[in-house]
Amino acid sequence: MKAAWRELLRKLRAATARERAGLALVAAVAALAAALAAFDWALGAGQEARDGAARRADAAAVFTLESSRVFQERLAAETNKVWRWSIVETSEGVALAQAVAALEGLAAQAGLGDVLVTADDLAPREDGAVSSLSLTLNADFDWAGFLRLLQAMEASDLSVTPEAVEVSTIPDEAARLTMSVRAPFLREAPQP
Amino acid sequence: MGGINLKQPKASQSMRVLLESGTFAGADGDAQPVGAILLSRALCRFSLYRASPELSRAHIARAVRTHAEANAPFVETGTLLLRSPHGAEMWYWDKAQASAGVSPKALTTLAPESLFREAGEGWRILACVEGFEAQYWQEGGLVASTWRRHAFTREQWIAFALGVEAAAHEPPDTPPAPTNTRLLTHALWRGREIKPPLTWRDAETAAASFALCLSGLAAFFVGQGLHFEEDARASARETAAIEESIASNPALRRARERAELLLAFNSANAGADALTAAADALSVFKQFGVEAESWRADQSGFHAILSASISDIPLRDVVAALEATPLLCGVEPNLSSREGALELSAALETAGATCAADRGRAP
Repeated sequence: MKAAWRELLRKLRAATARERAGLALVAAVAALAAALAAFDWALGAGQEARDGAARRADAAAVFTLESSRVFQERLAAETNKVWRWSIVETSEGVALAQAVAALEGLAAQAGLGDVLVTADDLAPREDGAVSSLSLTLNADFDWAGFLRLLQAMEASDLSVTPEAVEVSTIPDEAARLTMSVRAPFLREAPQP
Repeated sequence: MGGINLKQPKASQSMRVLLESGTFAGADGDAQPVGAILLSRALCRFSLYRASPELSRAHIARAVRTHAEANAPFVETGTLLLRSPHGAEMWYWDKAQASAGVSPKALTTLAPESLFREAGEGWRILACVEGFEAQYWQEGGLVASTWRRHAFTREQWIAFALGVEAAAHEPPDTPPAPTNTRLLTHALWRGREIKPPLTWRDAETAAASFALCLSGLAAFFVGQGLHFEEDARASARETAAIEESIASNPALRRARERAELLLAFNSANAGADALTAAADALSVFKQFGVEAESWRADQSGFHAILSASISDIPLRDVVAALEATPLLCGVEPNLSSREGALELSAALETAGATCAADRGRAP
């Protein structure tokens, strides 16, 4: 190593100023590239450090919040509402049947005629998460019945969210209502 | 001694003047020179290079360098070339004589003491640290200068005056009284210096300095990056410790699960309020006495077919009223395929989002 270093120094001393200037220029370009790369890396590392600090602050804030007894009680109360407002079943099929029955019940309660409720496909969700059941209601339309249906939906324990409403009252044709709704579905773990 | 008894000026505290004898003259008389070293006028020779006014600065520089090299009066000549209104001032000194007792580093900054005197105009005689210097100045530039060990005699003065070609000022018949001025501490003449041309050695120095500076910069950035990485690792460790303490605490774990369930429920029920948008639109229609034959409201927008022709209703006002509702935007009326009917379409504005129908329109 020492010999190689000595040899390099000897060669450098033997080189002309022009050759040494060329070598120094190459070194300068390499140093420039290294400085730019280091700057870029430092910039990225700085961003990562800031993101990490933000994540730590978020985690600390969440920890403080979730440690609060009052917050835990509030969460429990809100979660109970979610369970009460959702259809809780072990399979989608049963849940859909239950949702169709509930919506038909609401339409009947509102006094709508010629009611037809169809279930759409279940939106795919991960197990344990809240899924959405999509249903479509077709019925004869009149304003009073429609308003009663909305009131019944509002008063219902099941959370039913209207997604789309279509009303046709063309003269000489029967007035029809088509309403697409969503209902939350919680998959219950099957009993052993 | 010329018959004149004049007190010789002293150099300033920070300057040392290298005398003809090889010793230094300074305020404290130190033998070892420190600070700037001036050359006694006795060691220097002056010459003016008269350049044609048409020559460019680069041409003058090249010409004066060649001229100074060709007319070097010593075997080993020290040279200082300065730009002047008349061309260039050339100062020479014997490098071999000056280098005795002067460090190699100080040798590169040597300058004649005459350059540290106030500029003049016309004819004058200066009392130097040793001897006397006769000068002729014209248009702010030194044209001629000569040195004598003793005060100038009339003959010496006449010889000097006759040596100056085309002098604008008439020389006095007798030598003027020598002026005793202090040495200036600043070196304004450095701005006029004609430096040697750049060499490959200069290029090598510049490139090596550049490489060195950039390497330092790169090292600084690497240091910063390492520091930031350590910060990020420390943050990740602390975050993991918090998550671990949440995971190991049943009450906190339950709270997290419940919070996630609530978030999932909210996201499952999220969406634009189509029903409220429809109620708003129908209320506007009622306000203008218009009846909707059919209407549809969903997440993307509101669409209605009105049983009215374009001449029956104040369409512009209806559109403006619909636009004024909180959820509807981008209202567009269209003629229906059916006679006596009009179609109206509007987009739904979700909370915090701009109207999708307005995007891409000219302002």
